Amino acid sequence: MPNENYIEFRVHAGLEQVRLVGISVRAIAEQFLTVARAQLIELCTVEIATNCVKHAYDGISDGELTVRVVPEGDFFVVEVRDSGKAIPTGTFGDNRSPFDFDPKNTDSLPEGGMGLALVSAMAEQSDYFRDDDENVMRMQFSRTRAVEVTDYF
Amino acid sequence: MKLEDNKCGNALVIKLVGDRLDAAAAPGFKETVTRRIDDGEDTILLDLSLVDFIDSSGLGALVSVLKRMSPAGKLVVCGLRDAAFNMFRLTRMDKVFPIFPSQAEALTALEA
Repeated sequence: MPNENYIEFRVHAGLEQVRLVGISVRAIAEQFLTVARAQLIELCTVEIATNCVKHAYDGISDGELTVRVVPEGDFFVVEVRDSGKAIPTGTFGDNRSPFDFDPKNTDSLPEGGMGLALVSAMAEQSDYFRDDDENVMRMQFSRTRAVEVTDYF
Repeated sequence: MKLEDNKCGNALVIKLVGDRLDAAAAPGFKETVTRRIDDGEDTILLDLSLVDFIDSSGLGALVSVLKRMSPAGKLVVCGLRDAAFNMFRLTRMDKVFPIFPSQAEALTALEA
């Protein structure tokens, strides 16, 4: 995409740095979108960055996360890139919602597997692909979508 | 993340002293609260008034400690800020955890 403004930064791939990633992306998003929308974008970004650290790098790598934000196109786009191992096929294809639980049945409540479900629900489009031995997760968020948080699940 | 706890009547009030309950903070939180439950605490109030971000790892830790409670035990939360409250609503956990605006209101409800 020619003449496209973007903001890109890199951090060490550690759980402590995910905080910085989230806060930075939210700060950018707040310049272009509502505070509530920016908070959801922070949440999605943190979920993806955490996934990179825990799974692509198994939590033990000296690798980096590269985050690119494209704020001004049709969509607000966040791309998180790592050079860890490929995400197994099928990871993104599970459409079962972990939030389809019975609130009165404690055993049915999810303790994990919620991050990608949140991203799938909140981003208008989320794509995972490999690019030159890197994992790339790209999320696109509508600038105009007005939804209540209770509308997602 | 630091946790401060003190006993108010039968309830153990645990205040999270930190602004994020995320993947970095969740394991320590879960371990500390689980230890209190295993030590016999069965009425717990989690004060989240300083927390302005909860991700799925943090939420998973909250669910995990809830599951650790005895069937007769009570685990409630209070002081949710906007972003944290939205996370509960987004994931339907507002239907699972009793939520109160303040410690005082939560303690009154727990004593009733």
